[in-house]
Amino acid sequence: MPNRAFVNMITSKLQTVGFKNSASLLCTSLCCDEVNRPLENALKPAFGDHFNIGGLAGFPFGGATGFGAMAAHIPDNGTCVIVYGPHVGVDSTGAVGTVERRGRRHGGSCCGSAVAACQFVTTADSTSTTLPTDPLDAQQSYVGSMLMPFAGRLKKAANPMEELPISMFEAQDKMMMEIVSMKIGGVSAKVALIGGIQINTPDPASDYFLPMRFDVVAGGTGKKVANLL
Amino acid sequence: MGGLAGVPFGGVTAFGAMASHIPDGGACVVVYGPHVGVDSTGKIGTVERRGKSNGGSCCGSAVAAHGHVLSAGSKICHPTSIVDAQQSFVGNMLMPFADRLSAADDGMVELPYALFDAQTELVDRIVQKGAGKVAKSGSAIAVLGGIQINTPNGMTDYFLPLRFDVYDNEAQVVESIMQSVPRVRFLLTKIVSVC
Repeated sequence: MPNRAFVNMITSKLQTVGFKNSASLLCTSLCCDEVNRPLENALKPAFGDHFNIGGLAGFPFGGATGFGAMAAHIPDNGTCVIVYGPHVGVDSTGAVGTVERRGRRHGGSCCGSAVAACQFVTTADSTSTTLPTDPLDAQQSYVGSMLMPFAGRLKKAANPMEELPISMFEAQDKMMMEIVSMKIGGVSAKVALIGGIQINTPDPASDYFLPMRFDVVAGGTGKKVANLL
Repeated sequence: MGGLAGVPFGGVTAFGAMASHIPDGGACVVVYGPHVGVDSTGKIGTVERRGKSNGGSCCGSAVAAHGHVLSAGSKICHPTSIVDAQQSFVGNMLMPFADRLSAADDGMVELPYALFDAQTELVDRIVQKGAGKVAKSGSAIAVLGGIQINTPNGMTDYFLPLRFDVYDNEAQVVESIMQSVPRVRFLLTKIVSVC
């Protein structure tokens, strides 16, 4: 759905389970690419400034510490809304995996990190489990590692550029759920987890968000109290 | 491309991706740095937050790394899991500054400066490796680094610029817009007195 409709949908559904926009802290995990900032801008009137735990391709690389720091900023007796997921461009010709960009004749890949990771996992001869010790380019290495389990699906896909964001969402959703389960015990607020795929389109068309998870979990226990999808 | 504490964790790949989005014949401006809160009482390292009776640390990651560095005995801990790798790196990057932090009159004043120095080292490495990804035409990479100072709502935040260089796509500095700035500790004191 278009960004504005997505924001309206989540705010109206969250109100049915006791969320108030003014007492909610928004946390996002979206890719660094500037084409993803319009969604955050669309969320801002409802929720104010957000806490960012996202990195390349939208993975929540801020990690458990990032989540914990964010949770410490939730308004007293308030709630938390987390919006996360990968992104994919669709250009004016309908090509998936690219989008026109301001001031450029050629838009290039979108998402660039995801496309590079897809090329890596579908051609890699072996997989290394050693984590980088230098932060200079560690994140892209992580993206490749997290996508590796999906190499078979990507190789078989009729259009890998369509399969890629779905695989990326599953990888990111898994990481997000791991972080939540590690840290929810120290959280007293209800947490909404809204995951999906951002679809970037050429200006002036609206971007879209395809929701794939919309759960509310209780702070402390982490028990799912609502599925709003 | 920033992550916890403002460290440019997106790295060389993020810089290269960003460079491929620069308008044709255009330039890019990289703004980076750590942040520090100054609350309404003038206390450094914390700030009031919307809807909270207690604002807590600001910057939380930096303060946690500071505590780790002063107690870890110079031990570098490489990340063992992707799930919390960033905070491990923040601690490791701050480790060379342990003596400065330990000797500081106020660790919360020294901390953003130490983090800035650590982040500048990484930014410079990224620019060295990634500048070639910027197209020759235009080919200007402005790098503006400093410390963000967060203040309570109703007041503006501040930015203390500490370096402002322009590179070409061979990672050569073509212009230093700011000469290197002596440590302006008094500026933080001045801001504290305004709060």
